[in-house]
Amino acid sequence: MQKTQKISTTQLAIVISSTIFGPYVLSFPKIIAEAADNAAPLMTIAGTCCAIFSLFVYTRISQRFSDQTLFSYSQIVIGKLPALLANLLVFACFFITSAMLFRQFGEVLSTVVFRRTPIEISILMILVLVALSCRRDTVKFTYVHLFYWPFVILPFLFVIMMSMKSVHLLNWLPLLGNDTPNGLPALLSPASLYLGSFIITIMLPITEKPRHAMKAAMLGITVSACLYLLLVLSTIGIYGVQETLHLLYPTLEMARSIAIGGDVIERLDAIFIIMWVINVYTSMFSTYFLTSLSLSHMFQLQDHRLVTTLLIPLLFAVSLLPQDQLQLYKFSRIADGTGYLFLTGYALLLWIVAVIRRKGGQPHE
Amino acid sequence: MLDWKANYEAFKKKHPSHPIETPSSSDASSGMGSELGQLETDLDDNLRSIQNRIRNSSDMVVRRVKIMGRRSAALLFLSSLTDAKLIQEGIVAPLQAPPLAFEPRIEEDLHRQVDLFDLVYQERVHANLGQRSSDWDVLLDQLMKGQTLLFIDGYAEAMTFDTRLVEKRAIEQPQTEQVIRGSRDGFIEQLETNLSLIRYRLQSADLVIETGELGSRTKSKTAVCYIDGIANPDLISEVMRRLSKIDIDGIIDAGYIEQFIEDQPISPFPQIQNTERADKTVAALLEGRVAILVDGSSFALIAPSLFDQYFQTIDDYSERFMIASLLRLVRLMALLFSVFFPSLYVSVISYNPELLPTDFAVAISGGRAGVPFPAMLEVLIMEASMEILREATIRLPQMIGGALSIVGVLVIGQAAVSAGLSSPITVVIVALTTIGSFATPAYNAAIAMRMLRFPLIILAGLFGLYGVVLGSIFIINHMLYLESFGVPFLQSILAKKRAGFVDTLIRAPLWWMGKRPSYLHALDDTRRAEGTFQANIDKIFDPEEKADAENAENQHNSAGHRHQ
Amino acid sequence: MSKKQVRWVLGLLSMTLALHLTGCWDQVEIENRALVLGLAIDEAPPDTAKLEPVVSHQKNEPLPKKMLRVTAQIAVPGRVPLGPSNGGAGSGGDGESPVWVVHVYGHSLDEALNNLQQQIADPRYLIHLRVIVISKGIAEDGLDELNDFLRRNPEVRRRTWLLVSETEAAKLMKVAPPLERVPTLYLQAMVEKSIMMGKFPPNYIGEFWIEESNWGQDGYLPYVTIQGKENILIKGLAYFSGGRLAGTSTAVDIGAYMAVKGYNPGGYSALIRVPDLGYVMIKITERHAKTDIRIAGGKPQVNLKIHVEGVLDEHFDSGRNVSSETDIDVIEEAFEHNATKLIQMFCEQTQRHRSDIFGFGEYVRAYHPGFWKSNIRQKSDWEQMYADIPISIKLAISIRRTGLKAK
Repeated sequence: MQKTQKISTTQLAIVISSTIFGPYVLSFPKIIAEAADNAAPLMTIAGTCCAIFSLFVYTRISQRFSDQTLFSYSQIVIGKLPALLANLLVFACFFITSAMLFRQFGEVLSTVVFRRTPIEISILMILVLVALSCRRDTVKFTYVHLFYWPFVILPFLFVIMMSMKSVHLLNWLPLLGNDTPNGLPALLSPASLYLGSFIITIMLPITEKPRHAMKAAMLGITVSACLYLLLVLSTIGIYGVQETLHLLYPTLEMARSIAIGGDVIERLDAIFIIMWVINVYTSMFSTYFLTSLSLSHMFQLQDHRLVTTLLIPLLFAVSLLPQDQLQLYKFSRIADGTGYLFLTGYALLLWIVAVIRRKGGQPHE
Repeated sequence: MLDWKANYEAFKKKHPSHPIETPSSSDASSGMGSELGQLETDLDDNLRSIQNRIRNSSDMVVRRVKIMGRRSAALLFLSSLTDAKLIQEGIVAPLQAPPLAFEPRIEEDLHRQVDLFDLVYQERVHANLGQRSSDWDVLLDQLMKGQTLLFIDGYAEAMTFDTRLVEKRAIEQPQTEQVIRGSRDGFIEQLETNLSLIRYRLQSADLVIETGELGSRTKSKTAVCYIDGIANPDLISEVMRRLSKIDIDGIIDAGYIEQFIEDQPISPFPQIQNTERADKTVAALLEGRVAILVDGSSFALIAPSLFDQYFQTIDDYSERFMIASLLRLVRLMALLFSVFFPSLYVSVISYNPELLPTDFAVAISGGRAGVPFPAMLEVLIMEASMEILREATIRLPQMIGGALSIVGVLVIGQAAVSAGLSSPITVVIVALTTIGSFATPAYNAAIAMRMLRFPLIILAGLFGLYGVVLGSIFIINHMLYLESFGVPFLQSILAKKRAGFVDTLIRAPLWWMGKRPSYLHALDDTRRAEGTFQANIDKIFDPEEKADAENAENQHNSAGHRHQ
Repeated sequence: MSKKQVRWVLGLLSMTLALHLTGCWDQVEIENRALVLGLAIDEAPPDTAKLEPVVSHQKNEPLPKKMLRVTAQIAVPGRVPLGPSNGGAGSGGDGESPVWVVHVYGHSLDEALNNLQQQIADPRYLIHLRVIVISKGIAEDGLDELNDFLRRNPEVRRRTWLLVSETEAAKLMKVAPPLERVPTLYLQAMVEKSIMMGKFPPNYIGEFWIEESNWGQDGYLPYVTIQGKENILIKGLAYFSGGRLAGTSTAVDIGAYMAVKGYNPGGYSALIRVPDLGYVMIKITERHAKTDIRIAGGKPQVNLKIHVEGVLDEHFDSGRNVSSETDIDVIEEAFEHNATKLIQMFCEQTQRHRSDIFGFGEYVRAYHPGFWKSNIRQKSDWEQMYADIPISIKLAISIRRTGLKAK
């Protein structure tokens, strides 16, 4: 009965921030501390700036074609065949990152909570759940993000707030670090956290005011970036860099350290892990959605539902490929880094070509 | 009275802005094929043919009369559905009365055959309606509804009079929706009474009641109510379209209609609200919703209806807003309790005992030491027996029901603990869940939630908290994907503007809720005069007299606005 | 086969698969878990290698020489009643202890716990492990392997207490003071309540790990002993250097330490003799401290500024009353003198043992990164340097109140 619903600017911002804030929240402080020592907060900000630039490019190019998704307008800009090839790479990028995401999720569960449950089961359950949720259109996709957004943000804020009192300011100093950060990896690892911001390239057709999309994108990324920064600040502040390096999941340790209600309720890590499942679920949902959408565009299917089902076994198989934890982390960091560079490059290319060939209009209401 | 299909098409014609869907076979379903066809002119032929048609109706009465002692005629009615007194005094007696002396032209009329039906209807009979038809199908339908047919010799037509009188119960307090503060009258089975309950609360010419029939055999009278100028025409036409699609032999209850017009049949959640309360129906109409009533059911259906409506009662709006908001929070908490508590308990006991404080954990493990089952099985058994008790108490005669419910549950709980079938904590948890689920005002929503806890308990037993969270995500996603007449089921949470929030989890003061819910796309979305909100805010800070003066001024201004 | 049949077959297949797969792998009911509440770790007598069952290694595997004796306190379900104990039939009243104490031997903590598992039916869980007591000897050998296991195991809380015992650690597992239902919980409550009263810094095992990880800091642990038959006493700090126990302090040094770090609330009282005024007992209520580090002559120089607030608790053995401001000043001066000396001596003691439990090195790292980078390459570098840095202490006290007695 109703016309197709459109989403507002704030809602777009929420989708972006909930997509971005997810994959590496547990281990990120360790990764960045490893790469940048005491300069971790600074490098997080620097990496975020890179990610903001990429998001800026994604948004600009999408705004030129505000009633199409990336997969359709890329064909207009650079021609059918090159676009097909590039989109194949986009698909590959998100396919691999989501497979790694599933595996990492399973690793955390197997290490912390389900020490005897086979990892295959934990992965398969969330995989099926994500695949089932992906069978709807983009508006419903937005609803899911809208609903879970508070559950994504609040647990982390809560943990950060509860542990703020044990932060030692000394641990933040010196700001520039005792060791010089090792350049590219230190920059790339925070930047690739924001890989999910690519979601904006498929969101614009259902946005009410594509003209304001840039505002939404910046708002969304700022919210998530602030959270990441707070996370890094509090873990480094509580544990110091040396101790953080000893911890596989510093954020989780933070949840393990806090006690509420006069020290009666402790060990909030089990609850925290559960809230984290929701957090990861939203991120997985986004990457899975992108993956299945790109694949269905490649086969020129009207409906991406078939694709979501077909992807389940494929993703499952790929997620089981890494042999052990260490290999997994090495591999996924390489995948994320290159994926980030490729996506930014691709969007930049599209934008430049579109400007030169005068394809697409200025964003209109 | 019209068919719903015809109603729908008529509505479409009135609002031509919407694309008219293929009118399909409009005449295919109307009537059951005419066996009798048209009337004859001869009275005896007509009576003979109808007696052939309806053989076994012992309540059908054929009353032969001579109009004013001259012209032979016959009255046909069902004694079970008609008002015998009205027929005697209002139809038979005036017809039989001899012409008065100062009515000379009657004599000629009777012979010259000026339209005798008109004459009888306008000057003699005291009953209403007076429809004429020569089609047997139409006449039989009318007869079956409790009307009286008048055949006159020499006319191939018959006239119907409204003499319907059906036994009905008195208006009582609604049993399913008790309120502390609110009206005490609820709907009954008779549609006319129900419509009158609505109409006297909503004395406005804008209240539209469209009626039609549903059910090829029962021909239940169905009414769709809405307020013209508030309810969105798209919504109304969608309701009518869905009603027109119903093709079933009989409508026994409003629930039958609900199942045919809801958006997603495979869902535990009700997508159309039902209520026994007339005031609730009127409030919904005022918001821009559509109410569907059907003869024979004491429930009205309200569409579209969203999740949060199931947690609102009518006295939320009568009580002070802070209390009402608090009560709504309590209800939400009770709901969360009833859905998640048992599964959380199971997962903490069997998977994550580290969440308990150490001394409590040691004590609990002592309490469970004699119980032979795993926590999941134990909770499932207790919950299932609780459900059995609950269901049994509904079916029990009222005299013993109350006594048995309390004593039975207490005794069984106590006995289960001493027999080592369950631990004391489990009994506490089960009791809390059951009580919690009764705090939800809407029975159908409460039972949906209550049933959902069983899969959650099983998931908790299989995968602990992880299972619970996956199950919850699944349920919540289902709710997110659900729609009621095109409105997302959780719209109040997903709304673009948080304006809808004032009447969901909390209940803001009435002067605050100046707009109708945006998702209904009401034609006129302003509920209160424009300055009301500001005036009431001022009242908080300003001395009373001054505020009153301002208030009056504001209202005056805004009244002016509305006239423009 | 028609499409419909295929669907049915697939559905059945997935159902059977699901039934096979749903296994409740991690499900263990709470009463079936052997909850280890406390652990005590002692050095084993030299010839215990023969006593050890061969569970997790081959007979002739080259293993560390050192052996541990682990004493575990396991909760016995049912001995602690649910709810408040009714009347005289409380726990322990009937002579049954709510915990079960088990001894095992092993080459490392993990191995010992595996041996323990071999001896008890229910799977043991460390999720409610609240207190670990190690004997002095174990601490002197270093806690690396212990910490490694405890860090890796997700069951262990970061808020567990690690205590160093002067006596045999196993004895602490056996004492059963009547205040708590469960003995280990008494031990835990004792330490935690002393934090509340300002008598000990909140130094959980997690904090200890952080201190040990930081290059510019060394860890310390509560040092406990058994007094008399059943009394547990916090005797002082056990401080570490290079991961090994370097020395222990007295209880009054805890107060000195907390003053240097500025921990609140203040909890210690000091009995001092004031010239002309006799003996005075001063209770510290608040501590504020400021650490300032300068690099002078290629060496960091520590300047401590400590300000404490206190109340006069007791005053006796003198002919006159404390009645004027000058009296207060005199008392303050005497206290400052004594306290400074105490802190000075404690600092010197730690310097002698090369154990920077105050974390002065962290200040150097934070404020003088250049100096730090050019001089410190590993943790032991700082420990060496700490031994001979000058530490100057400025302590001031304000006595605010003297109690209800006027004269």
